[in-house]
Amino acid sequence: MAIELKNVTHVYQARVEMNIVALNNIDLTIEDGELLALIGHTGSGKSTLAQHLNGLLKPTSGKVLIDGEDINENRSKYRFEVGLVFQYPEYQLFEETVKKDIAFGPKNMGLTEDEINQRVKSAMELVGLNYEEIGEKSPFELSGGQMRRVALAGVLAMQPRYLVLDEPTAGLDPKGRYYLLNDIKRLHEQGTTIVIISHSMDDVAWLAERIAVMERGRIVKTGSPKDIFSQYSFLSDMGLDVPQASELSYKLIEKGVPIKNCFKLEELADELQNLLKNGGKTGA
Amino acid sequence: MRDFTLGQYYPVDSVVHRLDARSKILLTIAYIVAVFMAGNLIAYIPILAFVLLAARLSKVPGKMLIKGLRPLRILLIFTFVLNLFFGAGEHILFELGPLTIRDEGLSNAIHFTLRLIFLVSGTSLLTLTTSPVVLTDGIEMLCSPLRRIGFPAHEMAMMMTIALRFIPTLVEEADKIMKAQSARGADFSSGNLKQRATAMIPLLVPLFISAFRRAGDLAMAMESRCYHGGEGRTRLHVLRFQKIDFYAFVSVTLLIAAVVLSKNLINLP
Amino acid sequence: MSETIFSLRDVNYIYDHGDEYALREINLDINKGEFVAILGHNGSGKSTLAKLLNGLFIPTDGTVLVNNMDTQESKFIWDIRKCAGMVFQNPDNQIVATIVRDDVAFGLENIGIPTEEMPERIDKALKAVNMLEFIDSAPHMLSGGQKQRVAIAGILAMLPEALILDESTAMLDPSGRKEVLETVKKLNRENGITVIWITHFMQEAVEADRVLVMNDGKISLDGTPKQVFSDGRKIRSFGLDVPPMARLSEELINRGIVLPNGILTVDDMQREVLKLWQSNLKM
Repeated sequence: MAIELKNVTHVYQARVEMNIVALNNIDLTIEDGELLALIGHTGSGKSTLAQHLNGLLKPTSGKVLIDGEDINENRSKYRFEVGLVFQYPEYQLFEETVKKDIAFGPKNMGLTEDEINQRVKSAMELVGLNYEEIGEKSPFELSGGQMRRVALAGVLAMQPRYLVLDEPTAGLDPKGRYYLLNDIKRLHEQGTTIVIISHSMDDVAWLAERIAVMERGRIVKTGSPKDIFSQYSFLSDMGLDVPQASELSYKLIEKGVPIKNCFKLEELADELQNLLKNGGKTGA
Repeated sequence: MRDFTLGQYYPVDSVVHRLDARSKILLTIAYIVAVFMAGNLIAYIPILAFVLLAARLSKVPGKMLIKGLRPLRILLIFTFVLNLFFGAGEHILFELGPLTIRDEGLSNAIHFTLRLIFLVSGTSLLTLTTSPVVLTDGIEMLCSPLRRIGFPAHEMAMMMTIALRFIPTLVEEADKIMKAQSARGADFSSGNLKQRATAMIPLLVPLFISAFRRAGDLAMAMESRCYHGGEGRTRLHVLRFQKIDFYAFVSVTLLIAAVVLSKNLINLP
Repeated sequence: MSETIFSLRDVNYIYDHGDEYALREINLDINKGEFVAILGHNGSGKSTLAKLLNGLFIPTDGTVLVNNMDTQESKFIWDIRKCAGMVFQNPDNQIVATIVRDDVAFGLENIGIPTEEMPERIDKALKAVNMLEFIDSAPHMLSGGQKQRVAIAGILAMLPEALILDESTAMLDPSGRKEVLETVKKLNRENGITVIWITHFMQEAVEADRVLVMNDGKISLDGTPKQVFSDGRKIRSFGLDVPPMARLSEELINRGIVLPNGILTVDDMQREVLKLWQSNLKM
């Protein structure tokens, strides 16, 4: 089915004098099986929105529905449906061993010992960590990239139907980033619905099927990566990056070069090959 | 979690802000003494006048001062009720079943509650009008004569500055970890005392690890900025006694005199 | 002939608790006024190298000279750190004071600058990083990019000759990264400050005069961005990547399109494609 946000508004009342509207009348449907990217400037409300998806924050007004039912009316039922991976999730690791840390979520769900073990094993497999090799290690002995994957496994072990990732690649080096993005892609192919929040347009271009652009607590645009990234000036006015392929094709099109806007390098290479070798006349 | 006023500097320019930090610390101590000396309700009149005057001069809005009392409201109510119903005294003023209010109990209830209110509002005036850095400078300089007997005045002050700097960061971090663990099904708010204590482990372990990591990072950053203890250090804020400091001392002396006087006045037959 | 500011000879470094070399046989000279980017995956030794450059770490073997002062000699240590200031990765963990002004003053207080001189130096330093309007702000209310600029100001106030930035943009959002990089580029260009820029964002290295690639505790590549990024396969073998436009240029060359070497930016690529397209039209 789907997660639906209906007229969701959230006002932070932490500071008494000023009520900060973090989310302003959000309407959004996250379809089952899709991979949606939320992009926007820091402070545009992306993380606040993410925390509404599993009931950590409750809307000041409006509703969050899963399969048509309000999640805040039946917390216990939907608590583990949406897995939320925070920014720098390795900072929440706390157990003595990797196994125990990943088991924390399933344990809280009240599963049996056998089930828990099973889930820990398969979650580690999903993120490419060797159960035999590092299961008994302390999570704090691992490299940064590995720690992050342990944290991700800790959420996956709860086997959520929906997975929300807040800046999953922040601070990783190119190799760590590559592994993690592959993990996410694989999870998605296996049927998990994924919402990813990212500043890295390269990550978004590589993964997303649909993009929602947020600004000042509103969703100002949704569309396919092709639609969104072809609007170079709209995005850069908002202070957002675009993938370099989009920027180049936009700038070439402005100079009258007859190519299509591409956001992936390989596509743009095809397009330019076609232009420069065949004069742009054949193919489309 | 963020609305505690204690330790929250209110940056405006006022006479009180300009007072030497050392004077303000000494004045606050004198003021606390005065509050404790207040033997009867009349004595609170000069204290009230003093606080109102100081608040007025400091340009700190009354709302801020009252906000500082909010975290204490339970303690205040508790103090009041406890003294009211369980106080001693010869005359029973009111009786309903097991509840009795006696004369001394009533006066103690008012007395202790007022004392708390005045203590907190007076001391928060100090922190509202003095930036934490200047405040620690003041403490350091007041304590520096003690250095001769081996008291680490500079180190203490540096530790206080750093603690103040990192409180908001760690509060924010605790909030984030708590949310992240809740997303993994952790339950921080139900169960008995022991269950609750165990439930804190997933919060406290990461928080401690992070605090240690931050401490290590900070130590390295400080070292690379040539920090090597208090020796040979100069200061941005140099404290100087001025005329206003003198007036401030006069006013607090008057306050203490008024409190002592009111005590003796009432004690006259 | 330009003067060298950092000079490393046969430097090895082994961490206290361990026997593995974090750095080995490093020989390196960096000239005054250079903008040097250092790339490398996590654990390649780039942060260790940075910490050797201002005496936070002392080499196990070999010598590190900063402005001809040996970091082994403790009498030079404060002069060395004054000369080569360092900005770290986590913006929260390097600000000491609760007010921006006081934080910028921290270094000045440490090196014993007279009180009367401080306000001017603080103003100047904050102005150079475009943060003067935040002089009375509390650091925890600032954005990541702003905090890093305050950290830079804290060093600038001490009038350093070199700035070492150890992955100082890793935790920032794209606009914060841009802010910090632009600030540092300006300081390099206008004030002649030597910059050592450690990063794992390939695109940031494109802006440098010189790029060093670290791998396994050694300097594996050393050259201009054009030279270093010309061999994609090699760069990838070090766990890194080339900037997107260099990859596109690789793809196009593989498809038989003739392009010059060293295309690294969108503007370069746009110019080359237009040139080819226009000459095609004329034929």
